Amino acid sequence: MLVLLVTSCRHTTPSLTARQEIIVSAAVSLKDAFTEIAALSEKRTGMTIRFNFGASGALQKQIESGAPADLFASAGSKQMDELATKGLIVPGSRADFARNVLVLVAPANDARIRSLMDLARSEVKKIAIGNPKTVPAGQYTEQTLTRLKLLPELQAKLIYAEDVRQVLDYVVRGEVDAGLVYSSDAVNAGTMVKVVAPAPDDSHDAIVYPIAIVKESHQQPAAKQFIDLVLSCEGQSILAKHGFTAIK
Amino acid sequence: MIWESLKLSLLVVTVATFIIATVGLGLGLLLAKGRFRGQEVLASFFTLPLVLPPTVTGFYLIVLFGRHGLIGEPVYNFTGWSVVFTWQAAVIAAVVLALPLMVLSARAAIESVNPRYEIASYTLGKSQLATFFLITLPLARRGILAGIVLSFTRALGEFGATFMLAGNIPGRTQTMPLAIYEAVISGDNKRAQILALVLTGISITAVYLTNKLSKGAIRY
Amino acid sequence: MLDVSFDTEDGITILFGPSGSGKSSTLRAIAGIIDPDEGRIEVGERSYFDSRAGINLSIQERRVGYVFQDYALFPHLTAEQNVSFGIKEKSAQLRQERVGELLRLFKVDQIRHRFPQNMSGGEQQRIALARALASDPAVVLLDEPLSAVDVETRSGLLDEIALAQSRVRIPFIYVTHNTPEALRLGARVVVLDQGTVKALGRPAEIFRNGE
Repeated sequence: MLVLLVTSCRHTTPSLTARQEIIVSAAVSLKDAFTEIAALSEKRTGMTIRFNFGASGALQKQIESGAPADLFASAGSKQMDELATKGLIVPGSRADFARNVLVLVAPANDARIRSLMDLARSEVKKIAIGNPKTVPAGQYTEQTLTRLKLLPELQAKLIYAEDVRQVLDYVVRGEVDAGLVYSSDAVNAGTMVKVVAPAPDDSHDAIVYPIAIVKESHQQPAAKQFIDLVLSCEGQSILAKHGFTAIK
Repeated sequence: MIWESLKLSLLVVTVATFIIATVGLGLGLLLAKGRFRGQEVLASFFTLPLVLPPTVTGFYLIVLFGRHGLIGEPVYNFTGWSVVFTWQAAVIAAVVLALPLMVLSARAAIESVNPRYEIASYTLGKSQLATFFLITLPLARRGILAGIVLSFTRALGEFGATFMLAGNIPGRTQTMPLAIYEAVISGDNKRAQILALVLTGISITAVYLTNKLSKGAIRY
Repeated sequence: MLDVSFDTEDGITILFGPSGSGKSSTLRAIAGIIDPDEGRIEVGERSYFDSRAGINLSIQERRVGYVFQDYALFPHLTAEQNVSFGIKEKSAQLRQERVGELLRLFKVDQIRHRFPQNMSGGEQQRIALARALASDPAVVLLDEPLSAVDVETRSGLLDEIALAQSRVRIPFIYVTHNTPEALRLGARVVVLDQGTVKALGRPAEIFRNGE
């Protein structure tokens, strides 16, 4: 289990922005953490926060087509970079608000696998990972396995899933011997899976979650308030609670 | 949030099915009886959403109706309103995706009515319109009802295009399929199961009721 | 290819000939179901079709009663509803009277609530004729109406058709390839073969000269 540091935070008082509403397009993996942060925000200000959770790629396309989102929080840099290139986000509003750690998981009662290198053993027949073509977690996994020089051996054992949920599902059911997911997903799955080990920090590109204000937003001050809350001590501990790693 | 998405789904599907039933019937009639150039091209065009992945159709829809879209831009400039992220957008998505089913069914049902009956009606002095309502429609009833049920259930389960155009906003555009998706992805299996059960229940009820209605129709 | 020309009088005119001779096509042209390339169709004082004058009345405008070979009774309507379908009368009471009149004339009053699939061939034929007459047509066209009926019933039906015609006094044009029918019914016979008129006259004359 990862050790979570819960520190007490100083309570910040934002300015009241009564009766405003912002729409936040965010990656689905952020749902639990963001919903909690939004509840916090709504208690403090009069602002209503509406979420539009979806796959980062689809959310990006929506914004490119002029969908009226005020904020965009993506599960990877790629989508944000593309919006930035097209001038669709407010420059300077972009901030990385969380990181994630890639972890190896196995069924809770399975003691065979103790490290990433164990994956090469012959008793390990199937390993579930996100599809590197479409799932960011899958891309990072591929990087890690390549860096550790495990990829050629393991290629035949890899089972591709279309989202992280599926990977976890396979592991929980015992359809596969192990899987690679984000630590935030593992936290979500609770006691049904056990985290064996994290991937070494340097074995993949940094997994960062960026957030930014959409250029065409009519609620930029309110949007900025939400970002501030996410980056604040309280926001960060909520994210940590859900398995994300805080931005140092 | 379960009841929110149920209410939204029922609203969207009711409005959508009403539009689909009328427009689809009209189009089915046009394709069944029409003899104009480019008829089959028109038919193929309307069948397109059936063969494209819904997400692709959704992409085309947002390109069309978005704030910078072919239709969306003039509407926005004129009224300051955009359909994206509204429940009306969910209706549009449902209609576009489910209409082909209605058109195909209606066309086949109308074509299956022996033209002899329609001609008999003309000899008895009834106009083409009157004949359609008095003779063709009752005789094509089963196929048309089947079309309505098919498109109803398709609209109820519509996901990909709805997400692209209407977004996944709980309380505003999050229909049941979207709620199920979100619940599954975020690990809330219990909610996902309940929603799925409700959705299944509605679909089964709809099909059952329609079968009962069809039983009344005489076999010809 | 059809090249037909004839005129009729009151009473029953028979269009006689083997299959493929163009009898049914002629009937359809009169009704307006198909259009001739050129020519004229007049019924009474009205011009239904005139290629030179550019006249082509729609089926609805022509006021023809049509009895199809398979009767084409509306399967989702009762006998009564079928017959009343073409009645132009708006008043419900008058409609009821007219329907009752016709049903009684053809002796099908007892089956008025039956659906076509529950009727015998003879009953269907009578309902079909009643229906055609209900719309108060200028001419009644019958396309081999007895071909689907068994031989025993045919005789009785022939008499009924003849009787009906004499009662309503509307010209009938009756298509058949059956000689006894032509002899029994026809005031006048038009013989068709391969799309042209081969002979025209009273039945006795026509059939005496062999065919």
